[in-house]
Amino acid sequence: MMTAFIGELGFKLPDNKLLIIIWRELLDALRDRRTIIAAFILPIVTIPIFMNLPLFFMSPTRNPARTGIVNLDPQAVFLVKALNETPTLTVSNVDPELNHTALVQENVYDLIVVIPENFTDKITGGESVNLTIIYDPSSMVSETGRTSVTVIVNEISKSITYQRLSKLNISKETIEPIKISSVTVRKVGFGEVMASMMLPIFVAVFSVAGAASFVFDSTAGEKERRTLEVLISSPVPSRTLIAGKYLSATLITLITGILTVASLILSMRIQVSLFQTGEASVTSLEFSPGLVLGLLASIVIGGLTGNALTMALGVFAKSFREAQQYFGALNTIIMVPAIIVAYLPPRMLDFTLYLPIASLVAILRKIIVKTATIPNIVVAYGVSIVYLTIFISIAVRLFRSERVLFRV
Amino acid sequence: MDAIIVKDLTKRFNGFTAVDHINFTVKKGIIYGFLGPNGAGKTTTLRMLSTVLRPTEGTAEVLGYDIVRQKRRVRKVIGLVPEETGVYDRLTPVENLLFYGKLWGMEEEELKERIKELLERLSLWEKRDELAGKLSKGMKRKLAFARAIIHNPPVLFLDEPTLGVDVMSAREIREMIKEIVREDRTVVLSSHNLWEVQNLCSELSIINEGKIIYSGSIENLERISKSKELEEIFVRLIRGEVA
Repeated sequence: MMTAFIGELGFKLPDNKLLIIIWRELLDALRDRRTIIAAFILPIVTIPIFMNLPLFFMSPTRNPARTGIVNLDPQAVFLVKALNETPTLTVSNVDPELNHTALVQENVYDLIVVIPENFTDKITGGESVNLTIIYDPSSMVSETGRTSVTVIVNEISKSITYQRLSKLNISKETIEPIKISSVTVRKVGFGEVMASMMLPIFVAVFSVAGAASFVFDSTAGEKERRTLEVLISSPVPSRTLIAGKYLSATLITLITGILTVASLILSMRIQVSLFQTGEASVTSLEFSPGLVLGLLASIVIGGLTGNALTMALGVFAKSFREAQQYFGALNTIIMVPAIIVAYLPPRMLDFTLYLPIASLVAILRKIIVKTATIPNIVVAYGVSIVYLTIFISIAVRLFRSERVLFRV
Repeated sequence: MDAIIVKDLTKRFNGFTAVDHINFTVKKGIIYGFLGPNGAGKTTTLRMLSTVLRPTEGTAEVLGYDIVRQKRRVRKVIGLVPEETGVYDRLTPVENLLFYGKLWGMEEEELKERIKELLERLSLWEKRDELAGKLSKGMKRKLAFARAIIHNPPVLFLDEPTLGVDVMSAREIREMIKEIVREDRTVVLSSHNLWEVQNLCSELSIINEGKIIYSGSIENLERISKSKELEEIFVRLIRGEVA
């Protein structure tokens, strides 16, 4: 119904060839299932699923580790109570006669804690005692459970140590000769660090790939369906034709980019709440004006560059399928470095500001963690505009080439 | 003034000569046939005349406008139905016609009226809001014809206009072609349907292996080949059995 409305709108268009071309391209796109899925639905659906579903199942508070206690010392109540009160563990007693290793191997328990005989007596007597944790290192839940138990036991152990020292009139400092205090050079929290790795990649991926299906359909697809010939014989200059296709693609990319960013931020907030423990304090991503501008600039320039590249491919290809094959190769050459950049140590980011698409990933990372300088921003976006201009020139040149358009 | 003048028109692709120094003239207000076997150079010639391809050598004029130096003027005065219909499957017939009408600068009211007139005339009015991709092959071809004449061009290039179209619809299209020329407009018709060519065209050119092997009136062709069957004449010409 919405597209029918847009169709009717065509009658009201002014006598502007560019607008007419854009109207048709967008109307066609909105009725193309491939474009709707790739550009609008995928960013909204896939990002939350891929980011949160695995973590949902791995979250220690949502999926506490099934912890068996083999308590050979009935006096070790304090330890059992501490374990019981841990939200990341679900504790139950295990018969000492059973094969505990087998129970963990067969996934009856995620881990088993064996409290030895005379556990309490040894502690009270100032001795050391061995607590055994049987766990499966191949299981994230088991590993997380082991960590939880270790943290609890270490806290109890520390508390016991301080009590023993106090009885001997020895201060804590005796066993802690060196204390560490950390000083942060900038206010960057967990949210920003996570965002600096994920947000730029998604912006880059969806900027390049978001409108690819549309671009290929609008170029190679038109060649395949032979609608391009009639279009070329109309009184519309080729530069207007290609500008119309390009601007339509850019509009779609902008929408994809904004949906991607919104979806990612929502997913991150969900993720952060899933990972929160009682003690960790998490800073969510703050949207400073600089970050918003940086995001918009990256989405726009990334989209313009990606669309120029895909347009050149689409014009060159004989068919939609052929264009998709070229796109696979393009992805490897352009996107793999961009993804690697997201994980590079900060000291190696500066040279990546000169690479296509990867420069946008690098600058966005720097903006998010507040390390971007004006020269960095000028280089990254300036270089991106140069690449964009080159790719557009290639696309236009190819569009004007009979040999390419009609692949004769 | 002649509608179309072709002088030494040539097109080469990577060393292969698809159209080789062809010459012919199309008078205004007639239906001109353009025949040849597959791969003879018909489509390439029509593409050059409709400014889709640039000639390698030679020139042509459409209504006095040079197809290379005055491309945009040529495009304003022509309509084209290529062999593949070239309709947009995800647009309705109304939207297809609206798009091209707008590209040719038609005003809203005039365009609405013209769209209605053409769709009714070609029995497509009831399908006006269906996506063109769902139409039959014949309906798409009628839609392509409507698209080509939406702006009332003085010159029309038709490549197989009735291919795949049912008898009634083919008749409708032929009637419309005849009406077009009655309004002193010119049609260049390329078709493998020799009955259609013989009944619609007064003059024609026959092209084979990139060269024109006959250009002139059908009447003259019948006289020199001593036959009234265009199919037989055509076959004999291609085989070189007619001088």
